[in-house]
Amino acid sequence: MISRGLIALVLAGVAPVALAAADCPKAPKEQWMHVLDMQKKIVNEYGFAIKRFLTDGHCYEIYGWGLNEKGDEFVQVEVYFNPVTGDIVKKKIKD
Amino acid sequence: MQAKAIYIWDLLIRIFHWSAVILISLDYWFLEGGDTLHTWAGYSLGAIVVVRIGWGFAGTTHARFADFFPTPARLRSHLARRSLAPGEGHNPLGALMILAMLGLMALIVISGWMQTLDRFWGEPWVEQLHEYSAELLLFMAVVHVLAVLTVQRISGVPLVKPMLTGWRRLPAGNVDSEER
Repeated sequence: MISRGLIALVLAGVAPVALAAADCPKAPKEQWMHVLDMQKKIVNEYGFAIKRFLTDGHCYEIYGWGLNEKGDEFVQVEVYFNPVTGDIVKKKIKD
Repeated sequence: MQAKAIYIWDLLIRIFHWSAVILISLDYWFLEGGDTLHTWAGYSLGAIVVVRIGWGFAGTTHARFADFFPTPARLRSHLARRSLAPGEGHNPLGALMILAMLGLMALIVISGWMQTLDRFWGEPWVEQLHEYSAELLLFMAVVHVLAVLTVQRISGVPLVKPMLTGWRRLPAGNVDSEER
């Protein structure tokens, strides 16, 4: 029955979205790096320019610019960091 | 009993409709924002919306905005009649939904494209506009499908088949029912 199939499709609408997000381990806030230390690491070590800095779930996150894969151009990047270690958890670079 | 078939939706309308379903589903569920494929599926959606709007002025009878534009008079008479003419394309309430969805698709494509510009990259209001309008479009698609199925059942006028084949087949006894 066509209707049944369509209703099933509609119900599938509650399925989760393909949203950009990253999983960082949950850690108490007092273990988090200070925002300024995090930003220093982002700029000085990773070489990103920060346009927007925020906390997303258990991660620090930036929207900004960084070198592309080829290393010849500054492009938009969206990067998630482990807030305790400052490690990159997820990096999205525009190609 | 002899059946009568009426041609409702031309090929371009049907291709637009199902391409929109596929592109929106891809971008909503499978292709993450920022991915090249997500972006290009979005631009493709923008392109077919533009074609659909053009077809609204140059297309076949039921494709034209003039055929279904939900004027207050049409809405009033539709609500008073509470029925469908078998030869009808979008009914006035359906037309409201279709125009709103076309507008939303345009909004989603534009706000998505804006995020590729350094000026608006990471800008919260642009990001939220993009995401909320996508959620709203999906909600409206659900209402659209439920409304189609409900109206089809109550009126006895086939609505799903014409969007697949173009043709609406009516049993002979049903054809005189322009007024029902």
